[in-house]
Amino acid sequence: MFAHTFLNPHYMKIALLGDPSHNITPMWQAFLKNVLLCVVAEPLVLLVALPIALLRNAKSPILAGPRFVLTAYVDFARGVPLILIVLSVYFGFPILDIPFVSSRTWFQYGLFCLVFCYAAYVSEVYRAGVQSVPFSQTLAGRAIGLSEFQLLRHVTIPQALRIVVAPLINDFVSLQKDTAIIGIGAGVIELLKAAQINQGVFFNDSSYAVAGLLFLSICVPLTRVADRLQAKDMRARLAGSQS
Amino acid sequence: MTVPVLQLRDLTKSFGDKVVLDGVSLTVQPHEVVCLIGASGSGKSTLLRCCNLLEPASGGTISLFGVDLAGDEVRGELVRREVGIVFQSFNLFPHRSVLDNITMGPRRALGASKQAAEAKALQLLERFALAEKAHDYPDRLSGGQQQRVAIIRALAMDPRLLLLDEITSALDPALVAEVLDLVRELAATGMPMLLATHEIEFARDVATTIVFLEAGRIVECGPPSEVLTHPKDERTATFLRRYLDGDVRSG
Ligand SMILES: Nc1ncnc2c1ncn2[C@@H]1O[C@H](COP(=O)(O)OP(=O)(O)OP(=O)(O)O)[C@@H](O)[C@H]1O
Ligand SMILES: [Mg+2]
Repeated sequence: MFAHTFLNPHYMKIALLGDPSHNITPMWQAFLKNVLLCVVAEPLVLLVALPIALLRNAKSPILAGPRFVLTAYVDFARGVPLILIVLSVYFGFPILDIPFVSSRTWFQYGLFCLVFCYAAYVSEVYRAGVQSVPFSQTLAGRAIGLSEFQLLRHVTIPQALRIVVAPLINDFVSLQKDTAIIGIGAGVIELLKAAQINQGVFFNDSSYAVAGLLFLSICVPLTRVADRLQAKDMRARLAGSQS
Repeated sequence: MTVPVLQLRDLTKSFGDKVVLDGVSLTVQPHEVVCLIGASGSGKSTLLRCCNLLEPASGGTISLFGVDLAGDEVRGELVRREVGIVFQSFNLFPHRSVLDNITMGPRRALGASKQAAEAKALQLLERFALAEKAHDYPDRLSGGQQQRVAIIRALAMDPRLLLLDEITSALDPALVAEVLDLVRELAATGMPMLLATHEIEFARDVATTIVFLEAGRIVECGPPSEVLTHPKDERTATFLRRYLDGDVRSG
């Protein structure tokens, strides 16, 4: 009964490859929208998060204002469910009647939501990475006359990067899954919507299994890579580098 | 009289309410090796760090070759390109090879070319018998080798003054000698140095001046033959008795 409802091979095949007689979008095609969204969003997230992290870590009193604003932003973006942001953007922005903001495509709104939410998470990962580099390294860099920028560029960031790769992959995995939430607001047929439509036509839930498998096909390998990097990092730490 | 390499006048330093340096005045002349001795917490590290502006002083003046470092226009990184410092815990860059550790300063801070910086680094490694380690990463080296690389990293900047902060304290006793020999060799070439050490016999050997520090003040200051052999102040004598009794390694 369970297998018939959720893992019916006949319906799974129709769901994945589409069915011309019912005019149903193949789910693999719908999935391309999710993939495209996350592939474009992720580099933007990595880029936008960097200045946020560096500014929040900066000590200079001149930057107290920006630091405060960014802290508020990070708290907000991490504390509010993504679905809330998605619904507000898709249903709010178009009626705001602001020249540039109100006339964007669903894809651009989707990017905005994902970057808004994930840049906050990733900036925290960056910050933790930079802070985990011991202060003695900063002293050593200053001792050979490096400027503060050179210190970041040649000493702090390269060491932070090694620590940060695995947690970044984990965030990328979440982002990839959360593209489904964009579909809820966007009203385009991405993977989750396609699965719902399928279910509505055939009264069979196997399309959800297909959606799940498609998400897993990306998440699982990435998670394995992250685990492996984390284990490698732990081995290196346990092997002990004294400096 | 020649211009002193370094001159501190009435230097003070506080962390919050805690006064760590309380009016320190001392001079390092060309070719001089000045050794700071004193109990843990007496302010030796803080004093050294103030000298190249790793820590901002709270009061007094620091002058380098007659130039006052207090001015707003004096930038810390420019001072540190002239005044090298080596730390107790080596602090090599773990993500860079020995060669890259040594060339980073000359290349990034001084703008030397890669070839020039590497040629010079290799020459220094050769001179101190570390040439075969050039392409190893720091964690592959013994503590003594790491510390010698750290000294070479400072030397590669062609410093006009070298600050050494208890550079043998983190080492196994067996590895202390190789590092101290290197410092002796530098002293023989006339490199001006200001160093903190717990190695009293080494200080006797290498120092032109011994400075005994207690609670951020200079108690006694003079040539080793006076301060170490015939201390005038009872506090110095007590400190030395304690150290020389427990000092099994320097023998
Ligand atoms: N960043 C800091 N903030 C607050 N107090 C500090 C700081 N750095 C040093 N101190 C304090 O200043 C005093 C002197 O420290 P310092 O490290 O200069 O002593 P030291 O003579 O080098 O000792 P040791 O022989 O243990 O290295 C200590 O009491 C220490 O707790
Ligand atoms: Mg110290």
